[in-house]
Amino acid sequence: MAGIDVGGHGGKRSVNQEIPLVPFIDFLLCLVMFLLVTAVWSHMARLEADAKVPSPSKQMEEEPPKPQKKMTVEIKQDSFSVAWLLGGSSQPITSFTVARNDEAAKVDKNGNMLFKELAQKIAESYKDQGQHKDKSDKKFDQAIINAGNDTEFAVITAVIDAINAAKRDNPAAKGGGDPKDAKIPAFSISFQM
Amino acid sequence: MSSGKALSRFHQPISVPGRRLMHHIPLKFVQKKVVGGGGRSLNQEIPLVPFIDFLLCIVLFLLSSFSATGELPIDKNVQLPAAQNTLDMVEAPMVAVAGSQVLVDGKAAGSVRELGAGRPKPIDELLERLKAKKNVWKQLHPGQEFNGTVILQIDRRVKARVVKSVFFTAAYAGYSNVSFMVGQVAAPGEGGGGGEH
Repeated sequence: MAGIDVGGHGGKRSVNQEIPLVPFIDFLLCLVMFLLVTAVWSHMARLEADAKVPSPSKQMEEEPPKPQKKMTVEIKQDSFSVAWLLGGSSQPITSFTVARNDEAAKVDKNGNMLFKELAQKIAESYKDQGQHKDKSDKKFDQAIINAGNDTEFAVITAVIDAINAAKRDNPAAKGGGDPKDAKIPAFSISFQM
Repeated sequence: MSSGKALSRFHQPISVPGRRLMHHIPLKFVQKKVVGGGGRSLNQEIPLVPFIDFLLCIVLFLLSSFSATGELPIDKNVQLPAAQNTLDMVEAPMVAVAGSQVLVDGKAAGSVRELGAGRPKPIDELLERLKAKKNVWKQLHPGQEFNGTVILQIDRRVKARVVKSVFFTAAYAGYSNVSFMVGQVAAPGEGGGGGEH
C-alpha cells in the first residue's frame, strides 16, 4: 500500500520506499475543515432599480428632448395592467391586462412567485414598443411599477423579476467575455410614489 | 493485507499484543488467542488509499463551491424573496429592514414605525446616515465619481409603503442606483437548485 517496490534484494540496502500517507491525510483533513468553515451555501443576487430624481439639465434647456416611451405596470388585487405611454401623455399607446394568481405563481414552499405569463407578455411588448434595443444604445427603456401601499414586497420582486425577463444586448459587453454578460435586463425600473 | 513482512509505521497496523498481557487469566483459549497461537494472525491494516480518495473528492467539491468574496451578512429575522432574472452582487452599503428597525451596515438607522399608515415618506435618521456615508466615501475617494449604489435587504412580507419609503430615502440621500437583495432561483434549463438561504 502506497509503497514503491523496485524488487530484488541484491543491493546493500533496500531501495523500497514508503510514501508518508499520514501527514498527507492530516493535510487533507485540515483543508476539508477550512473549506467547510468558509463554505457559502446561499447564493445571493440583486434586482436593480433606478431611483434617479429628474432634474432640468443643460441639454434640456437648449433643445427639447425626444419624447421617451415608458412602460407602466400597475399591480392590482387580481390582475396586472401594463401600458406603454409616450412622454408625459396619460393616453396609452398600447395596453394589456394579465390575470394575477399568486397561488398558481408560487414556485417553491417558501412562497417565491414567478409570474410567467406577465414576463412573456412584457418581453413581447418590448419587442414591439421598446425604443432602446440596439447594442450601441446606452439608454434603457423605462418601466414604472405602480403598487398599492399594502402590496407585499414578495409580489413587487416577482413583478421586477418578470420585467427583467425582457433582455437586450449589453452595450458594455466585451467580445470574448462571460456569455452571461452578453444579455442584460432591458428596462430601467422605478416606482411610482 | 497481513503478511509476515515487517509493517511500516505508515501502514497503521494493529499489532498483536505481547505475551505479558492476559497471562493472569486462567482461560486457556483466551491466552492462546492473545499470544498469537491461534489459527490466523490478528494483524490488520486500515485501508488508507480509499480514505484518501474520499477526502480528495470532498476537497474538490468544496473547492468548486468556494467563494472568495465571503458570506454576506443577513439578519436572521429577514426572509428574502427569490428571483430568476438577477444580477451579481456588488459591494455597496447595505440597508436592512428587520422587523420595525432599519439598519445600515448592521447599525440602527431609524424605525419604520414612524411611517404609520399614511403615505410613504423619507425616514429622517436613515437619510442622515446615508448622507454621512456618501460624504465619507467622497472624502476617501477624491476625484472619483460616486456611483450611488445601495443594496436593500427587505423581508418578503414587508409592505410596499415601507419599501417605497426606504427606496426614496435612499434616492434623496443621493443613492440613485438602488438594488434589492434576493435569493437566486435557477432559470429553466440551468442545472442545480436555487440558493435560497
